[in-house]
Amino acid sequence: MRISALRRERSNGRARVAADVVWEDADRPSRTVCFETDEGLADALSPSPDAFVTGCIVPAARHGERRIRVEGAVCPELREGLRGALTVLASWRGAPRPEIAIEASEGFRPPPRRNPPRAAAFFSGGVDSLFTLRMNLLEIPREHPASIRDGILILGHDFGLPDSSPLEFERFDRRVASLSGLARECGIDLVPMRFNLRELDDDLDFYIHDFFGAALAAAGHALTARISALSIPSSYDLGHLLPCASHPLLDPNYASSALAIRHDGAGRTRLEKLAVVAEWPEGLRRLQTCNWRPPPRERLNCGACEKCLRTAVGLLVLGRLAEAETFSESDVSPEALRALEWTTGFEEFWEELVVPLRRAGRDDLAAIVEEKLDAARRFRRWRDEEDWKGLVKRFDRMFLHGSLAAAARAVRRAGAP
Amino acid sequence: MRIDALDCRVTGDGARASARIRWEDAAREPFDLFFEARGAAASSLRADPDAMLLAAAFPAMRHGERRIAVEGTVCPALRDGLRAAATVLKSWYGAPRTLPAIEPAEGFISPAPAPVPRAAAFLSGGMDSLDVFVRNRAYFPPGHPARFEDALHVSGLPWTGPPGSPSSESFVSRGRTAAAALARRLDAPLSLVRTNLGELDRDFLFFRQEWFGSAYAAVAHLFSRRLTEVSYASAQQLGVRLDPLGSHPLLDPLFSTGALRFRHAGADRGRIEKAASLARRPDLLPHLHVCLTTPLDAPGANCGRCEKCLHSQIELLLAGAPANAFPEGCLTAESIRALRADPHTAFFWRPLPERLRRAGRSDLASAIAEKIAQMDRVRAWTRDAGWKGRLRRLDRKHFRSALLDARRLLRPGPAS
Repeated sequence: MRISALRRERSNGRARVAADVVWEDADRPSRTVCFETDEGLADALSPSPDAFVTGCIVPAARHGERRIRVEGAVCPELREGLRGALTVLASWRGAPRPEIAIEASEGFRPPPRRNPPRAAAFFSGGVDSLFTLRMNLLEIPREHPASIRDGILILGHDFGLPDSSPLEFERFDRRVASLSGLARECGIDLVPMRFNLRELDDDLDFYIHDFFGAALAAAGHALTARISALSIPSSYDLGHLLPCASHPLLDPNYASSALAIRHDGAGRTRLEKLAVVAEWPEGLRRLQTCNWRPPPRERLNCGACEKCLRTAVGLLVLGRLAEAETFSESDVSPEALRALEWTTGFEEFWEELVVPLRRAGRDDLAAIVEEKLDAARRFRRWRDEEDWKGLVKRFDRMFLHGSLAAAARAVRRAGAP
Repeated sequence: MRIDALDCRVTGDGARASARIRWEDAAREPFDLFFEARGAAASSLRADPDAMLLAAAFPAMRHGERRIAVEGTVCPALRDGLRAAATVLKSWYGAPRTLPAIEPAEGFISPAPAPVPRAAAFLSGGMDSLDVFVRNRAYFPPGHPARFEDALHVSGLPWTGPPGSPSSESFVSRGRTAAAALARRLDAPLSLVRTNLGELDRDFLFFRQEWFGSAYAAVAHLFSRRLTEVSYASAQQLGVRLDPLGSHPLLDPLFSTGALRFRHAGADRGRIEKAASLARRPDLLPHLHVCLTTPLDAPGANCGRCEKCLHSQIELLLAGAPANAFPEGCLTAESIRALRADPHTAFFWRPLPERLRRAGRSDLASAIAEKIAQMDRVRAWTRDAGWKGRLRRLDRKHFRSALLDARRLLRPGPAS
């Protein structure tokens, strides 16, 4: 992969840094990759080779590129970190590290670190990011270099994809409007940013499991003219870590000598974080957890998706749902919970809600959550071949060359109309 | 637990920071913890409450203390970090691992970092720490805030026998000599720290599995008036070996405060890569100190025949670097065959046979392959893996070990 023509551009009230990306080994279309923000924040952006190499290397490795060559100099600390990150990602699939050489036309040189230091955090308005900001405001003196000064709101998960709808942009604008007020109240600057890194690979599963941590870090590197430290709020807590594109083993690897990256808040469970946010009226008023697509019109939260319902149940047990203006209901109905289509991957978030639900006298909801948890665990055991059927399947594969499975398929075919 | 009487005073050739540790729930004797520093950074030593907390938190958790009352202030990020680290340890080793409540006398306040950023790293004299230093020197020019401007060498942690014992003294003296020689050549001001922290809990397994990362972080935080970033070299490798250990990429960053960032460095690289980077600094190689054998009567820093000495020599051999820190003639197939098969060390040996064959040393490759097979058998036995393990588990679970008893009756072991 070649990344060239790193440049600054301005148009339609937006400032951006962009580069041309050409695949060398994979048969994939060339792209112009960009990071952009409002024109008033143009000075915050720089066409940093570190940003583009961080933003492109994970898809490049996935598609078998043998090298990633970027115009300019790359930080040697980042080069080592990227190798580490690719190793971690590959190890989760049981694969060796992909052999991809990192080349920089001007070699490997540490970029200067911004002085005075300035800290930023991603700021989506969800539980994790509001927790990170709230704890920082409560516990770090404002004159301390770790005090968060910038909240970065990203439109990038859907930006520029063929199926992006105007609703995505409308939702982003609504989020900007809502979070601008909160940022003002907290004395931080809101930095709305957009990137189109997903155009390099629009596979959503890949983005969630491998890519988005690097994409967020890349946005941070594009802002090193303004910031020197970046917190990425954690999704999972340390007691329940799952392979995920943003992870405490991954995120610090995306740092350079100009930008420290911190995976923040993994010491608390989601309910513990929500409890902190629920006690913060200004934050609770702006809480926006929904990333349902297409987004609901004129509302920040749809109230019906898994994430919205999980958050609503959390607020319910904390006694704060009625005060959460961004949720339209003041209670959660058993019907809504029962109607929830649930895939695996969210069990640890729901498990911690069962006991508080019972304590709050909501045995009806607790029973439904337990039913769904049981079903999810059964599914997981089946998928991972941990139940008795799995034992038979493994035995069949190992000793009978799959003949039992073949026989079962033949019987099913014969019985089919 | 109470941590009080924090004190720091100038001594003849350095400084000494100390604290008194009193147990409140565990029936253990009060303990006077000290850290003595000599060298470039000694004048910056302070009895930092965050450092003392880091030193004692996991022993307090282990012995069931319900709280840790600390004199002074504690950084809220460290409070959360220790709590998060306890969660990690619990996920590895199981309950009960609940961090005692942390009660600083003057509350939770984030300390300000030193006004000028300054980075440092621990320098034990082994390959991991030396590799971290060598690469840092290669990457960061003088004046860059990420360049290591100090080297820290610690003794008194329980890697070997109790303080004052011949084995400990032998290890300390060899380590200090190596670190001093290496720091001189790296042009990094060296500070030597001696502590009795290992005496707070003498269980080496606990130290190794849960505690040593925070113990080294404690030492780093004693210098937070001078340093803003301290790196500890990883003995692990991302994607290859990430065993639950007291120093780990998940744990070490949690031991940071508002004043000092504690980093786990070098986990992206394997031992052979590290040896290759050292091969480019032949001036450093004669001073390498990897050996934990004590006491060592022979001259030099390394015995040459222990497990660590042997794989280090092979790694240097494969990197084309002279193994001139080791006695000559030690690296033989017989020395490798004579090693005890410890499955915990298999990670170091696995990458070697194939490379050794390519390098024309099939004699060593064969001996290592045999040793790895032995290690795997031991590991399978200890983990109850394979059909025998399944049978043992079944026996324990459903027959209360009756099968095992029957086997013992039929085939009694040797009389004691």
